[in-house]
Amino acid sequence: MSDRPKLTRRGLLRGFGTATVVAGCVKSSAGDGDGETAAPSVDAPVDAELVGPGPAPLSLEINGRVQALEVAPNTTLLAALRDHLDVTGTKEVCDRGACGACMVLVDGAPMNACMLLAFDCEGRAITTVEGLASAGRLSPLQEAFVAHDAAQCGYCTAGMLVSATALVRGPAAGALDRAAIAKGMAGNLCRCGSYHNIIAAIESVAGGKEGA
Amino acid sequence: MEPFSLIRPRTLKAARDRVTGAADTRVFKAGAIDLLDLLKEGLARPGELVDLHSLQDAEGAAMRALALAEGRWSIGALNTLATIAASGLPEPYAALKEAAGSAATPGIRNRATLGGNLLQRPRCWYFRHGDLGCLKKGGESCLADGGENKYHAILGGGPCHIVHPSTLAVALVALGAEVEVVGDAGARTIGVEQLFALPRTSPLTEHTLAPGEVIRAVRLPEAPASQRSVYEVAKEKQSFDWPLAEVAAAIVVEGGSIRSAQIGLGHVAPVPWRAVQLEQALVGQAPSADLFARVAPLATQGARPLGQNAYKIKLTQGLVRAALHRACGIDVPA
Amino acid sequence: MFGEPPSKSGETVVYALRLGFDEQLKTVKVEVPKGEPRPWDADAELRVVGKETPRVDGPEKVSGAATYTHDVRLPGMLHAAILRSPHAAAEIEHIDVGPALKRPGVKAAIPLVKVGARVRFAGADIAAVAATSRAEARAALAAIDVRFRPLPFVVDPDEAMQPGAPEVHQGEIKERRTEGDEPSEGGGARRQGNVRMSPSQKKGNAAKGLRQAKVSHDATYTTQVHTHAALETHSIVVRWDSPTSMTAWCSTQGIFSVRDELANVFELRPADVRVHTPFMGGGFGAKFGASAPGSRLGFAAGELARKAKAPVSLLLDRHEEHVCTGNRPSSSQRVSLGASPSGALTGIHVVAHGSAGIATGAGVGNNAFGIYTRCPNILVESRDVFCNTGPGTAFRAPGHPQGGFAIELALDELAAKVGKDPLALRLEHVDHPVRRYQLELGRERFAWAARREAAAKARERGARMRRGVGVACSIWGDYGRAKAAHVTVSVDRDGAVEVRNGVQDIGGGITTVLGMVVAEVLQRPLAAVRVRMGDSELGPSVGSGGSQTTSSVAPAARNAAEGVKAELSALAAGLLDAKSPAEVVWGPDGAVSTAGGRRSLSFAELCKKIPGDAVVATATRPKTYGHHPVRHPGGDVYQIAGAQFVEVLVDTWTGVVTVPEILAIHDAGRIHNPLTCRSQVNGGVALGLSYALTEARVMDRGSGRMLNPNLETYKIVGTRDMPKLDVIFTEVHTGANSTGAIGIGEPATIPTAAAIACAVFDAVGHPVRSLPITPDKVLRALEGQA
Repeated sequence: MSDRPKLTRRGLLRGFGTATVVAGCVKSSAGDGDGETAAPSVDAPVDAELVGPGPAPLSLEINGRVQALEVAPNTTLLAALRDHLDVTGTKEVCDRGACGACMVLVDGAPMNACMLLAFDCEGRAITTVEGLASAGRLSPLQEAFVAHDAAQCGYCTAGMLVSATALVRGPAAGALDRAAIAKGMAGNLCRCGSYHNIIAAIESVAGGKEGA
Repeated sequence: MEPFSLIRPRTLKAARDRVTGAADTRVFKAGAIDLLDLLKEGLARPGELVDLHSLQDAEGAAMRALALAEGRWSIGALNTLATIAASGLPEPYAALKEAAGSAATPGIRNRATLGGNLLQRPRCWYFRHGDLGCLKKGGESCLADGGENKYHAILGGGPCHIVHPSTLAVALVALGAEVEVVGDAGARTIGVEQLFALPRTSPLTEHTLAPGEVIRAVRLPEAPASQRSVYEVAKEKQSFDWPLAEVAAAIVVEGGSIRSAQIGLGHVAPVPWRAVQLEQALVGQAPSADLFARVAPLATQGARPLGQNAYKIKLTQGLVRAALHRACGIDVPA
Repeated sequence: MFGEPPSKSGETVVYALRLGFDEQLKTVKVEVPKGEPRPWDADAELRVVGKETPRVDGPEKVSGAATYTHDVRLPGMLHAAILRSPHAAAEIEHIDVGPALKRPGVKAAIPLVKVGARVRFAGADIAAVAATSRAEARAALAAIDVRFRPLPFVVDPDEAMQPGAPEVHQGEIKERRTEGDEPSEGGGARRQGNVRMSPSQKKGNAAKGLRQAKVSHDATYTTQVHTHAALETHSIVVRWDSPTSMTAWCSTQGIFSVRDELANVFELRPADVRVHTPFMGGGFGAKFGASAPGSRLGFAAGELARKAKAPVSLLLDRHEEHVCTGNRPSSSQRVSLGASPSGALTGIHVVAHGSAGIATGAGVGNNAFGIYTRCPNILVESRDVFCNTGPGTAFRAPGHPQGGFAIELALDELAAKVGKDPLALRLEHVDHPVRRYQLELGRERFAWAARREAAAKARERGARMRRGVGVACSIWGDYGRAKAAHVTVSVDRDGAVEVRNGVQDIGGGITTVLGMVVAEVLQRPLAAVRVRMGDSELGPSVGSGGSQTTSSVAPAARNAAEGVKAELSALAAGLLDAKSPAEVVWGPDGAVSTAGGRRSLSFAELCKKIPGDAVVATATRPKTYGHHPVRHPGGDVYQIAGAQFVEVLVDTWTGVVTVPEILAIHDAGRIHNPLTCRSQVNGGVALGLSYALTEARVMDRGSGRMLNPNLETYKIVGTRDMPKLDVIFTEVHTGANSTGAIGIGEPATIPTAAAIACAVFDAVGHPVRSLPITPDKVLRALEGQA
């Protein structure tokens, strides 16, 4: 990918540590609308990397697969997934980190994909709801969600499952009672009001019989 | 969101140099939780985000550390709320862990940082509404004054009536923490209360940092092993919500009387509020339910509520009592 | 097995059915149209229906494979955005979308208002743009050249009722009704200023009843505006297939209402509009038609798609969802109760003013009128108060949670005045046998008396943490619709069973119930039945509103399956040399045999003999056969009952209310799938709890804008707010239709907020007469201020 012409939009900003060049950078910031001009010609020790503001190449590891895409730095991970990669299991609901519908695992930790920049996820392992099943088999937690009727309309389900997966795989998995589950799931909203069954489903798996 | 560039400096110096002198268009970025909120609402339109997660120098390491250094706990500004909540900070500092585990949601706590939590902008709904101009955004008046002000300040307000949103700051005030700030003249250390400014002196910003200054770490003072610290909060919704009010208390009881008491209040004032009169009334007294009930009103001494938030007076006093009971290990009569 | 043989009279057949509930069963003669199967009654032995059955579409939902409207991706698809009014009231002086067309990626732009038009709320449609990405479409909105002349506005109902308040409407008001509205509701048209009268509900002489009273209670109860806040926002994707035909994907609870609106707006034949809703992310009453109540999404998407000659996806964002897609109207209800010294009600008078913003429909339901029927004199008057805010619309049990809150809390206050237990007071005024049964059952199961006593003691000693209990009742009608859903069942030569209907699944689980009913009739395992739905080409169906989906669709599915079964029986009779199809016996595995099992064929063998490709039958259901045991006021349908018992825990130091436990007892006819039916009750309770404690739309009177158009300060409860929740179904055999289905969606949310308010009154000793019951109000109540 390094020989693609658009790579110039994501150049290494050089000599950026020296006072003279910093002054130059500040001056040029007035015309910073176009990232094409962002790489100065001074050849000095590399102190920073600059991306954007236009689209730049990015590779993301999603559900174990590395995918190349080109997005602007102002693209959230959620938008990258849904609009650029057509990975639509992860839902956009509030777009402000308040509902948990877009939860994904980032290196195993649940995070709101709407409040993450795609570029902040470079080199990190992203798991979406599509990555919870393996070899076409639903995970025990997914099975439990079906068995306990933890999804009504199903729109919160992806986020719920991701948060729940982190819980049952997490360090406190052995000590998950209903209160601990409710606390761990407190950032996920369900408007159909399936909480009762969601907690029951997680409890049935957290009981320790099977891994998530 | 408007387009912006992302800068990933390797050193704090490079990062600071990038922002210093251009703070209008270039901003630091860590977890970017609050920043993304501001960007999405069009409340901030920086041309560049200067990432602090990319730092590879010693400063970056200090910002990520959470460790005992020279007998004092130092918590780097890049530590997440989740890390702090699950950390090995000892019992005397429990209030900070409780506060960190109470703020926001599990997903946000995995991303939001200590530095970002301290420097986040207020949640006032007039400020956060992209189409409404207000004092804090350079407008003429505070729309909460005479408007919908149920969640606003009862102490220290005016001309803007925001409450400070940082939950960690409340615990840090009670614990007497210090903040290490790196600026042009090198590092300086200030008391956590000095990090924040009231709107009557600083209507547009909530903190006292100069442009380009960065919080490197927060340091906790040494505390006697007998110190108990607690965090109490009241929310309308128990799952995720912003506090209506919150109280952190750090108390040392020795020989049957209170030797020291430090109490921070949150979501009642434009800054994390120190309840000094209350502290003074507690020191030297034998802890008891009666004492707590008697002195709790001192927490809100001087309160000047707006049209819809007078309830916060009683509520804060109630939280103070709850916090004191727990910190002193005295059960509330059932 | 079939009880006494049916007696026939012309076009109808009379069956003697075992109807009722629990031990109160009796034989009732029910007249049903000829051709209907014998209705399933209490004696029906069913193998699939009535068993806890996981959703057949569950695996798609948990794997992320389910495709919602937001997930539709078509080749060449554009993305639309709508410019909305920042003004609560204004006149359009100038509008030109031309500049937006020059912005990057923009392919079409259209105005949605004309010069001279009036805008009546902040968030109203102004113009729309389609571009190659959502970001480009949003960015281009800023380029639209529009000039407003701001006008005086009012967003507070109390201010709107004052003389001289700005008038929201000039001239006639068009009423918008959907399948989400209760069938009996309906407005008049008299308007005075911003206040418009609605028809009243009247029984006896309330004024006289109140005059005769020895004890009276008179207070005003207020409720907030509640937004639906479905997780999937209103959304539609439109693709023109030819100049006279289109396909749409829509997040809707009424596929055919979408079809009809698009056909009407674009002057197409309904048959030339195909609508898909394979999955949808919640509706709660706000998603009927191609548009939202306050935004012409269908027109905008369709017109942009036509202009751009490309498919267009229009997805609202969260802010838009809050301001222009409907809400539960506010209410301010003055309740006057009169009673004897022992608490026998002599009169109930409710005067309700509510605001559905610019729309109508702020009535307060049947609670005060239809539940405590032993009160001889009742008058309920409702009035709409217009404000410059987004339109209200049907919201899960329109009117009822508001009405329930006021009358139930007022009753508790009266009970306190006469020194009577509030549950005893209710039982003294309830006639409905199912409701009485539920109240008595709950009294025992919830340990009502012991908890009331404990609450009183904690109150007396001024404990910090105080528990309190409350109870409230539900009322709704069996609104299953006749001849609305036409379900097709087919059995192929290879034995494949399929059921088809255009219905959408709002989350209630109709997909699974369709399969279960067909599996039941044809003696097949559920897994062997393929269910196809969510597509307007699969046969007419109902909207998911008014708790009518299961009761409209399931009986039609049974009737179609019975048609197929009859044809297969005839085929089998020939193959088995039986004298008539009636001699053919179906085994539990679908095998057919003659009486005595002398000769038999497996289901597969039988299907191989099907002449042609398949046996197919399409059927619907007739109007309700009856309303045993109780009629709903204002109609000929069964009245659904329910009661919820709540325990709250009040922290008197902070005013924070939590809900440790709820017992919900509901009647939903024959429970077709207890697993999904219980989920609906869980959901109704969660919604009611959220309404009771946390949710409120906050309007700024100065700017006319909503201050909390998000999911952060618009507060929907989460896992940590939920109680221990027990659900008991009182299964009632009503004999109303061929499967005995009756709805549950709305009844389950009606009493929750009311019961919570009653429980808070019990804990605190003073009422909080305003929803939501937030700490500020509780702290005031603790000081004795209502």
